[in-house]
Amino acid sequence: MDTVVETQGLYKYFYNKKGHTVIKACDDISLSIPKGKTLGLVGESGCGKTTVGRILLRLIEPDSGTVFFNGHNLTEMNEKHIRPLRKNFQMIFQDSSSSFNPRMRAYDALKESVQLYSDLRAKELRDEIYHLMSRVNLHKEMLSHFLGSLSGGELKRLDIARVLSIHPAFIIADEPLSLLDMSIQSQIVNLLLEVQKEENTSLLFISHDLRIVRMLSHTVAVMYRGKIVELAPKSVITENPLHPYTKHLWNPKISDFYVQFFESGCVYKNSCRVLHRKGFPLICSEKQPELLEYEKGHYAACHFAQE
Amino acid sequence: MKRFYYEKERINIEGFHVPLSKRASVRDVVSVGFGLFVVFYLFVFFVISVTNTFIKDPMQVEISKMFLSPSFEHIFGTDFLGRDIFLRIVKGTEAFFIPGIISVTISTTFGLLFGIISAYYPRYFSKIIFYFLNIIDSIPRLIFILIIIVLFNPSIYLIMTFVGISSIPKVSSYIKSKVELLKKQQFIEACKELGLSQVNIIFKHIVWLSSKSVLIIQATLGMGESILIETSLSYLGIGVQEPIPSWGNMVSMGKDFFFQGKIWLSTIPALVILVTIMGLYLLGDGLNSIYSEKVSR
Repeated sequence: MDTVVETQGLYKYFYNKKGHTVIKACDDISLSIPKGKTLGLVGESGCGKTTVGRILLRLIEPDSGTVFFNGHNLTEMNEKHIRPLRKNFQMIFQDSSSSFNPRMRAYDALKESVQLYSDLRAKELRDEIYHLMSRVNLHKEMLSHFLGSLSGGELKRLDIARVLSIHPAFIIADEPLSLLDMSIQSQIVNLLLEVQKEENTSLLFISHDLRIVRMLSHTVAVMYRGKIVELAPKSVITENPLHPYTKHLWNPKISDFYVQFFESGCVYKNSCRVLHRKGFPLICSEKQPELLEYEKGHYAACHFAQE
Repeated sequence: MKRFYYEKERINIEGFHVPLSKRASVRDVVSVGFGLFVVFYLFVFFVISVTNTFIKDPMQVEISKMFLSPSFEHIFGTDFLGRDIFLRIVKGTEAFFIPGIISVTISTTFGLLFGIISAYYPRYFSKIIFYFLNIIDSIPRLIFILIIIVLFNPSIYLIMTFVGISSIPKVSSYIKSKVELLKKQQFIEACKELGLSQVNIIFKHIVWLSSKSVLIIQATLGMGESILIETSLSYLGIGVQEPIPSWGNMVSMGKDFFFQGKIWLSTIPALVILVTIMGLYLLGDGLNSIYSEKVSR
């Protein structure tokens, strides 16, 4: 199977003014997304999901590590060489309300993206835009509105329409369903599935909504504090989760523990129920567990994954 | 009360693009309307004077019609050589119109350029440009111009070029702060990710869509300022010289007859100057108030 996107050992730390590490947004992230497949990236808010997506698009520079897109090493290319490739990877932004110039009209925004990579003119262009609008279930009247006056959900759908207008080979969907109500959520999910089927698009689906991640993804990666703690095919990870954090996500109960940032040991040790049950073993607070393959295609980073 | 309603409206729709009708208060509409009227008559006067389509030559001396007070035949009256003051005011626009536009073009073009460069490359260019511009800014303008006139005796075009250069700092600092604010916005990142070129992003999204209001405002204010400078120079007798009319030298010539009771000779050109500059400033002010997204609480 062809791999569309592959990352190796991505690191991205954010520092404060004194130079202390404040957030480890990416801590040794290695992912690969095959053609036509979906990788779901799950985790609590602030764990670095969006940062991973933005590094894949080279919107921010990683501290170290490489990103391959169809064999091109994006981390070594400069912006001038990446720009022709940008047609192939697009992002549905988390905050759609600020991802459009509020002084543009909806029609101009779509026109800009459609005309960027095609030579459609006049009537064909208008038909294409109407088609896009109907795909994301927006009314034609919206096209004459200023983007600043549209609601969050409408902008989200317009953002999706903008991405679809380019026909990318790889879409990063950064919480595409937040701000949308139930019926539109299902429409968008169906739309994404349809696009994936038609155009064989690869998807990185970033979300904290497990229900939808389970519906869309072929593989699921669970992130915690900038680290991937478990990576497995969807059916495996839903039926037999190995890492305690994944178990907690699947079956959430209120955690009593205040989550802190640690220099050493397992990232999840403060909220871990296994740790409690085991009587606080030293290995958890001293050694960072590696992402090991326990079954075929099922990776987990926990010292007690098999128990 | 009405004003308050609009202010409240602005708070609710912070950061969003709102139709003009909802953003503009009555005061803004009146000042912009007045300003546009001023721009209109300036333009018409200029066209008339360039194409030379006068009913009567404004330079023609008629001793029999000396010191006629305003009437239907001569709406602004006649001066000490019997020339029609209204026609001379129309002709007087020629003295500052093109020089003023030159000065405004210089200040907005270079202001825009320096503003963008210093916002995008703060490390290398910002300090150099702003030290240089601060030096220009620190010299009192009129005195600077007077020194230049004394030393080189230049034409009005050259003087207005200096005026334009000396207003670059103001324009570029406005543009710089605007661009600095905009370039951090996510939609610029989204444009980049979409594959738009940097030039396209800067000139379409940042300059054309988001900062053209700043430029228009600065242009109207700059035009007002250059009219003021031209008229003051002419008043002092270093600008346009007598037989050729200029609003400044008309005031200057007329002032000798002021205490003889012939007040219209200097008062009317002075009022025209006042109304014109006030109109341009109000236009800038009104546009500023309409276009600004600042939320007043």
